[in-house]
Amino acid sequence: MVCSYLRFKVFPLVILMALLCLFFSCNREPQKNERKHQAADLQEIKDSQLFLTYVDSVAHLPLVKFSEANLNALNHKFSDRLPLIMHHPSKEDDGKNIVIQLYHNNGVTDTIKAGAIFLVPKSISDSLIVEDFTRYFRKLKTEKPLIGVTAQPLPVMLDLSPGTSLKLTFNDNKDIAKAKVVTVEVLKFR
Amino acid sequence: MKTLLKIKEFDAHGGPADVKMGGDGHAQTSTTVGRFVIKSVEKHVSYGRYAIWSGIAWGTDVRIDGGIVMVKLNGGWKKLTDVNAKWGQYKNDQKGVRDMVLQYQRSLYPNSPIPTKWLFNDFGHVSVKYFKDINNDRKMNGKEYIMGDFIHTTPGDEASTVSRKIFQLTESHGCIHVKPTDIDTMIGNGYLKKGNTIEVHPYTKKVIEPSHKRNTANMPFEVHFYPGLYKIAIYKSI
Repeated sequence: MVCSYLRFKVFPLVILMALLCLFFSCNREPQKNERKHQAADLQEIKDSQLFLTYVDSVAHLPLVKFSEANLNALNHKFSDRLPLIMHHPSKEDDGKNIVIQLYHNNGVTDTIKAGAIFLVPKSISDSLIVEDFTRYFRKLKTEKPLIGVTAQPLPVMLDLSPGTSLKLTFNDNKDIAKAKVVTVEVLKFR
Repeated sequence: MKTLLKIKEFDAHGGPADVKMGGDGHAQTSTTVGRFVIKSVEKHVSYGRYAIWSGIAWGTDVRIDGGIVMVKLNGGWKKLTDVNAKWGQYKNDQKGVRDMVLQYQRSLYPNSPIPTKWLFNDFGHVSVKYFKDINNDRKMNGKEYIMGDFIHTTPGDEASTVSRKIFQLTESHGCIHVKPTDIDTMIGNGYLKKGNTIEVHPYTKKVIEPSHKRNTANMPFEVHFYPGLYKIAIYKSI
């Protein structure tokens, strides 16, 4: 009797509860995933904005202070929020870091005296477009376009001051302002 | 069927996963998926829309003589504006042509502003061209044709390599962009060689397989491009 009571009264209730649980968990999951994606997107935007601030700081280093020691000191300030690493020829990067290379040109006729290159990882590049730089720095060098077309777009230059420029390399896009920036180079002329 | 074992990986960047319009008004398409046979390994010269900067082979001698840009072709010096019809449109503006060449040179090699070699070809110092072998005879015949997707480098990446600067490969119009030193390694080691197979995997593939089973046609190596992973993997046939 007890068994039969359980089978007909309790068992359907258990099944109903299980179905309700399943329904709510299925409905909750997309919302949870959406929130997760939104959080990731926001993080990317935050990282790209922070990266602009970091590039600005590097660009403000005068040529005499454009050294590895000073760059490392600057990197240290940003290291808890940006994945900054100095380039090492024998170390392979996993594509998740901002890889940095500092160089100096010592030739008397060299117009570029020093520079710092930043390879932007996809996680930041996906939300870092040319327009972000032109908005942030409010500068854009307008060079006469080349005759004909090139298969790859030429880098964009932003003259920040008479002694400092930014060179942006980006993935091709119909609207250059919306093109994703993959490499940034700070150039020091004097 | 033979077993292919992965022996090496190189960075590579193809076209976008979905078609989009490039800045030059030319569509950027995804790299065509499939198995192909290498037809040639050569310097590419364009006759179409890119015939201005790519109408001259990489490394061709250049000099500026009396304000006129000259290139050395077939042992003799020729005005750049006499090279092809595209450049010919500018034959009455030699100063404009010179300024453009100097501007491009300066942007690529700021510390070597006067060009002595043509380093502006969009397809770099060497291109690998391949075709879909429909009848499986490993020869390009019948309706078979060279795919528009070459494996090549870019002028910017070539300049960075020469000056020992780091760089990242950029998205292509469908071709497979590789690093200048890597393409030389792949050619030098016999991975990219006329008659060898190239396989382009779907963009959705997110793992590079350590091995494959394929009909290798007795070729010792195969080159597999994984566009979704930005990698080329070299497989050795065993």
